[in-house]
Amino acid sequence: MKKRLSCLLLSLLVISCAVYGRGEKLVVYTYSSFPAPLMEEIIKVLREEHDLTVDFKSFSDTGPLFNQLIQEKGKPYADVVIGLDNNYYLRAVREDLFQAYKPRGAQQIRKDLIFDPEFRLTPFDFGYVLFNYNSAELEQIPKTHQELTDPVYKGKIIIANPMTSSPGQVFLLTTIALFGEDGYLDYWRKLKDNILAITPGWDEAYGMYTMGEAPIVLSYGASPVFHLLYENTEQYKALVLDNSAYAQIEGVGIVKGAKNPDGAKKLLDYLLSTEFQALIPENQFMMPVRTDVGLPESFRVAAQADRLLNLSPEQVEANLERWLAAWEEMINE
Amino acid sequence: MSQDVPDKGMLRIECKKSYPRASGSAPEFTLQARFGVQREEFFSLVGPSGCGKTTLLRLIAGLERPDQGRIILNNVEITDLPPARRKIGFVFQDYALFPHLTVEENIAYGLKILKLPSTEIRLKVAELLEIFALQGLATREVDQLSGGERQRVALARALAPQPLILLLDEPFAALDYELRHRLRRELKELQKNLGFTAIFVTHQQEEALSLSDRLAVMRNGRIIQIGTAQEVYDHPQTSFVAEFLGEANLIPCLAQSTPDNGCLRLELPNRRRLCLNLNEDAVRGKSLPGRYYLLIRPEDLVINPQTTVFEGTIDRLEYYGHYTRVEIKTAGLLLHAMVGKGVPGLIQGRTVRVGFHLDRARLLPREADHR
Amino acid sequence: MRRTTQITLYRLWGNFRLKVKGTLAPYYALLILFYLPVMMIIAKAFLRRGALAEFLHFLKSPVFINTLIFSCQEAFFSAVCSLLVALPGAYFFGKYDFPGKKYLRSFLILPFMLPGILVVLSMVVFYGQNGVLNRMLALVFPGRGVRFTSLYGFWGIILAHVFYNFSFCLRLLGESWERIDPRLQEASATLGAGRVRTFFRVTLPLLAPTIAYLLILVFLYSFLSFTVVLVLGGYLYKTFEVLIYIEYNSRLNFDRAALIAGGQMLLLGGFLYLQTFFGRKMQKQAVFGRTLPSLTWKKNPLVTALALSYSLLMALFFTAPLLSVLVRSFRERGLPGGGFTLRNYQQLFSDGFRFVVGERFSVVLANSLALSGTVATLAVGIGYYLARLGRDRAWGKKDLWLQLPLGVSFLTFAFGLFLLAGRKASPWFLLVWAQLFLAFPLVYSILRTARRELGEELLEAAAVLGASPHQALWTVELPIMRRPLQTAFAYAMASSMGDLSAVLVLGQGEIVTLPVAIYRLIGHYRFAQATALGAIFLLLSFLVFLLIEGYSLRQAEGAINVAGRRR
Repeated sequence: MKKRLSCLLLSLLVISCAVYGRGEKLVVYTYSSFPAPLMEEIIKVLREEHDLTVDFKSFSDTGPLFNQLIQEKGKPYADVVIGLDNNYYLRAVREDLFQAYKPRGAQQIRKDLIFDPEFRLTPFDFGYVLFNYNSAELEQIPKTHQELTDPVYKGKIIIANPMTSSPGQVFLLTTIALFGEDGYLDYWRKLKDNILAITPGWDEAYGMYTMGEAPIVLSYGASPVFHLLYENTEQYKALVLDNSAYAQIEGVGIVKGAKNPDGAKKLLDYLLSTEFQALIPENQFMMPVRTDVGLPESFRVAAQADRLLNLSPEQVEANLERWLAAWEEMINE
Repeated sequence: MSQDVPDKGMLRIECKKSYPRASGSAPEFTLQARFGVQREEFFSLVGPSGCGKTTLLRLIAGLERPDQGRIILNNVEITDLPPARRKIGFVFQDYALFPHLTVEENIAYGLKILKLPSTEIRLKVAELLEIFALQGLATREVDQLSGGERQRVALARALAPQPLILLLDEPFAALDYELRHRLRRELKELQKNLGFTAIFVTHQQEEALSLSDRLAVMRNGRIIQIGTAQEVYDHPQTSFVAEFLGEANLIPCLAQSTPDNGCLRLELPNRRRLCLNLNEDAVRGKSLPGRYYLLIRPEDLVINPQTTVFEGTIDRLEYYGHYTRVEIKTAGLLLHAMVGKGVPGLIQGRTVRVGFHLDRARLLPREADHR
Repeated sequence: MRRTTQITLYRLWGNFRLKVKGTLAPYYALLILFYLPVMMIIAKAFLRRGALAEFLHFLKSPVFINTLIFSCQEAFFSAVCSLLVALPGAYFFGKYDFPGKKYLRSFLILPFMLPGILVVLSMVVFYGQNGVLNRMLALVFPGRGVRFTSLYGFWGIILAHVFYNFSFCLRLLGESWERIDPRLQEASATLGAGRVRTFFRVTLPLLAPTIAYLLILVFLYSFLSFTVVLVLGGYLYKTFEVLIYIEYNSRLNFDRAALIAGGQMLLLGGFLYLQTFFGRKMQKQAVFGRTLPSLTWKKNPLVTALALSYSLLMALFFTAPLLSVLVRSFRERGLPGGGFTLRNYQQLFSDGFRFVVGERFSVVLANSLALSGTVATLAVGIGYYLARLGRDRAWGKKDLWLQLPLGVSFLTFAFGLFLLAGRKASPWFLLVWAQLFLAFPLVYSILRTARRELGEELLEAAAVLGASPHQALWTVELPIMRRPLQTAFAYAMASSMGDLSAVLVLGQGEIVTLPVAIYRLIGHYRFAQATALGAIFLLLSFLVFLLIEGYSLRQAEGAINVAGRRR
């Protein structure tokens, strides 16, 4: 029995020691739902054009990713991090995790999306976090956030939890941007009765929505594009309330102390190239940050907001803890 | 065959039950029984393995249901009563002691079921512990007991609720020789003192003969003979019974014509002719002339007698102290004899003459399927 | 005389072997593997200034108290309800043979291994406000507004936990029931106890250790519940896992997350300690295998009717959610009104799947099977070795140490492990390590109990007949132990195959297993394909379990029969 056991352990070790990769190596951290086609494109392009071997390490979510960066501060393993959004920006700055680099093409980025003027985190895509609705199930379409508190929507809304998920958190910020620090809790008190479920993440919420459990869900502005592209239906629509929306802006940054900063810069340049930016919409269902990259035809069903509601990173960083705590207290009342 | 329930006895049973054999093609096994057990009687069921003794016991206990027939206990029909309401004690072959209870809890189990007051239970348990010499073991877990102790706990547990009748399924089977003998005596003693009625299942003839007031010999699901130990031993009705209980010399013979003046003429394999004195009852119903067995118990065989029946050579001698067992080869037969002390000329290979007490010989029908 | 001498010799020899070759090294190795990551977490949480004060402060905070009260309530009701629901099934399972029992055995493992999100979606599809149940109710009681609305709330959480847990309770309890010597019940009957009293006085006490173990197990599983509590409990209810997740994932306060995890470990360690008391009694049952009476209309109309109505109820309330998700996987876009289609399945084998998931279907499948096969082999191998080593000992502290992983939040363990060795070993190695931790307590407890019940007589008998200890192991012991070994193997495989969190944390995106693929499909809007993959996942698992368990089941039963009769 012992002999067989050690054989097994040995074979495991052999598997674990498999050596791979030629050329210079570039380690990239990202979250696990970063689209595989984009990863493959990145790997392909950097190998062909710069002889770089890109090694993606993915984390279950951005939270654990960020924690890992803090654990490894000073002797980092990663060179580049893709996917930390504007809400992580100031924390990342405070922890001094990234080094500044303004990639080629940075001047083409839509100005109001640049949340870090020093380019420690550079935006590479963005999307609105807002409600979607199922037009086959919903008769009366709300126009404003206030209307959403109407009793006709009782039990028809599913949102993700602000405490555990980033879209949920963004929606909390949306309500603060709209109703102010004094008004947002009152708004939530009214909205609460209409909410069917507050799920831990976007996945459960959107799953319940597509399974027909409720007609309104908190999601992204480009969610309807998926249904148009892959299911050939326009039944699912984005709901832009008050003609405004809060943008989640995803950034990319070079880790301070990275072993391969030159390779990292090449990667950032590629991410902001027109070629890569054009790949984003229909793969990531987010929008490119470059003003000179157009949207594909399918994005006619994506949300277009007149007004960006985003609070300043400083404001968010200073108050988020308090806002969340107050929200939690209110919701438990 | 449909019969009525016997009209005598504390327990009266008449029933039938069929079982399919394990392999589908074989004919099914049918158990059929009809007998009565008297109050305070020690009644044994004996027979080879697989003859249906245990099943019969389980039918009486209600652990199985008969296909047809009735079981009556104390003039109450219990055929359809669940086992719990039959007031029957059962001692299982390997005791089936409750592993989650201690010795005294096992004994008290049936009393608690009766919802007796706890003081009374305590008294009774103490009494039983004493009767069965288990005092020191009261709080032991049953898996810490020896075989004999387990057996006594099982008995005490079964007797505690004062059953009308106690059923014992080979309770000594798992014990060693000496212990078996001691417990057997104890059981008999106990039965006499406490005066309970018992049905005892065993496949050991010695056990059955020494313990029972009456016994029933079973074979292939049927009871072949019922009687006191002496009756069954001395007057077996078939060669099977004769061979199952004790040793038997079965000598094939030809019985000829009607007996005149109480004498039945027999011809033995060695062409010897004998005249057997039989009363009329013994002859009635026998088809004559016909082929029979002459049963002679080994202790009834005489070496070098006045009247010689066979001549043969001593094939084997086994010395047992108070007697000697002799095997004699003759005329295609192997005869067994038990000879007391002081018989001369018992030397292996020597030719001897053999005879027997004619008055103790029995004539048994030759069954077609014998052996 | 000669026989006893030989047995004595064998015993001496056996003990001799035990001391020389039966080293406890694997036991200590396991302890190190299991507790090093845990220590990492605890060290991180408590070995810093002000940690103790913070911890005490946390213990006094209303958050702690509310969470504790809710978790205990929720876990208690989940455990009790799961067992109550499982009990009648375990009775039929343990007392009778019926056609399809073998398949049922394998089927009962399935809910145990479902990823949380699929459980939630199944519950929603069936019990939700627009679910199958409510549509059926509307058909049966048109216009009367009879609706099931309790899914979102406390009892919805309990319902989902029962859905998760009752089936494995049913199976483990049923198997324990099968092993009870029927003569004990007969003895009780001859002593005057009716069926009901026999049940409460004999059967139930004999089942008590298993029941206690299952209660604690379901209690712990429910106590550590995450997705179900958050989705169905909405904003009102939280478990410690939720608190840990919020600290770790959203507040990015690793130290505090570790602190809460440490507190939770201590708490659940206390609960588990209770188990030693029940475990101690677990040794006393006898091995008793037998051919169970078959359940047929002719022989037992009442029991058959009861069994059928029970199965019907269970099918309605617990199998239906699974089935309705399966049905959805055949619908156009997974919608209730969509037409029937195989498209969702076809897409799993297309390039689209690889683009979303990152690997081809065959690779994903091979990963899942290889990983779970390795974990199950290791868990059962080591588990059986230790169970064998401890066959003379009653359940004790040594065993408790191997049960404690049950009380550790698995997510926390995975983080601790990543912290400890994340960069030093390959993700495969780490995953096997973590999933061994996940599977081992249940595997060990199944094997330990079964091995203890076997006793030594049969091996001694084999030795007397001339078998070497090695031969006795392979020709007598293992064939008799086949059933528990199969059960343990199947559950180890199930827990590994169903695991999502460890693969996400430790796999670093390099290892894609079936649940990860499901998770990725969902993350990219492919819900219909996710349900289709879920269906395939369940079907494949079912087949694997059938293979594991169907393997000469009859032969094993025969062997046990001999064991029962020999006594």
